[in-house]
Amino acid sequence: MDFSLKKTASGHIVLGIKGDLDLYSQNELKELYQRKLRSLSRDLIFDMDMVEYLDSSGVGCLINLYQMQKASGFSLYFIRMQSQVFKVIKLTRLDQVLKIYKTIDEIPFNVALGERTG
Amino acid sequence: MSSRAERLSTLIINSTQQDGVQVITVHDRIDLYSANELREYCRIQWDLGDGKLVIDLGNVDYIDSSGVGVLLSLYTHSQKRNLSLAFVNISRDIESVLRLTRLNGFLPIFPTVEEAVSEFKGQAEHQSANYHGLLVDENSPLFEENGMSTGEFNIDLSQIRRLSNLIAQKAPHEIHEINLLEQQISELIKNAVRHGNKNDKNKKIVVSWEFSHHHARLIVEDEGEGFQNLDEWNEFYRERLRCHREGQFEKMMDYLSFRTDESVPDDGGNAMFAAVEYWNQGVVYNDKRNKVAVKRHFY
Repeated sequence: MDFSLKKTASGHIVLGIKGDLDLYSQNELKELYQRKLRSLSRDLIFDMDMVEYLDSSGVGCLINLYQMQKASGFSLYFIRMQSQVFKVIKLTRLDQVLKIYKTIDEIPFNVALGERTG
Repeated sequence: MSSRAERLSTLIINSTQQDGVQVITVHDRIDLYSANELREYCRIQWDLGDGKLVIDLGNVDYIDSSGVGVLLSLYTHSQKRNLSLAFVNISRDIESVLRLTRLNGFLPIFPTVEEAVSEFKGQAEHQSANYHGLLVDENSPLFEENGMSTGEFNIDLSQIRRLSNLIAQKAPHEIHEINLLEQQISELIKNAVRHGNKNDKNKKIVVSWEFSHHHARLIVEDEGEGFQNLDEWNEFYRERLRCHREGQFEKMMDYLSFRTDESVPDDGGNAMFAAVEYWNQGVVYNDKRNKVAVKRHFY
């Protein structure tokens, strides 16, 4: 799995993920989070455009990171999910629990900020 | 919200999504020339909308007997395959055609898209309230092995993706979302290898499969002690469904992952939640609970 970390003009941190997120690879993402992302102490955006395959271990990993972000008072957003990958999330009925948006422009950042301070 | 206009050879159709329901708007005419196209188009739309489709006829100004035939065949198709279907915004002219053919009280007709979508929601709640979760029934027809292909495999976790991929390849290539099928197969095999055989390559799994354009059926057996926590899982699942149904998404966070003493960190604990949704004709275990049969109808 390949990762690319960048900061948008508006200052948001976007992690591009490329490859299958499954039983075999999910640990790479968890490690990256522990090593690099967690200490940023920021809202994170995962760009899922290049993820073509997701299995239950991958879903478990995403839930895990989502909860760790939440526990430290930050959000985790997902954007540009491919339809078959979104279906996997939808089958577990987590599409309304996780924050999934089509594009970065659709993320209601102010609302998230309100949640954090409130 | 995505909206696409497609110029088919004789039909103009727009499609959008509303609350997870696929909504298509048909323009101009439904007649002998466009009938087949509309039928094919709707089958794809059903897949996109997870089996829920609203057809807006508000912009149709002419329908002939072939057109009426398509509406009827879409309806019978939906009944056979347990799909949701509604026709909305029927103009007076079309209504009078349907009345002549005595179909107006027979077809699922609603005034507006919103009313159709809310009807679908009611249906879904009714279904999930009755949902069984994981069944135990050794005599289920899902275990009928006649005519299925079978293989025995001594594998560990490292070979699960490859085996699942090989099996999914046997499915007709016309099936939409073959990746999803492969993933769902892999979860059953993963459970058998990890929880059943404890990742022991000396133990084998037996997989049987059967595919057509309309369905996929699979039986996976391991040499383990059987899924002892099945009843507990069902209880957990029902609580989870209840949170979802009542819109308590915060509380649903407590039901994200089903874990037992044997769970390991890379165990998602969510595979079978998806399985009971995906395998829409049932997920059934034998009495010992070391053998699972599943079936899905494609729309």
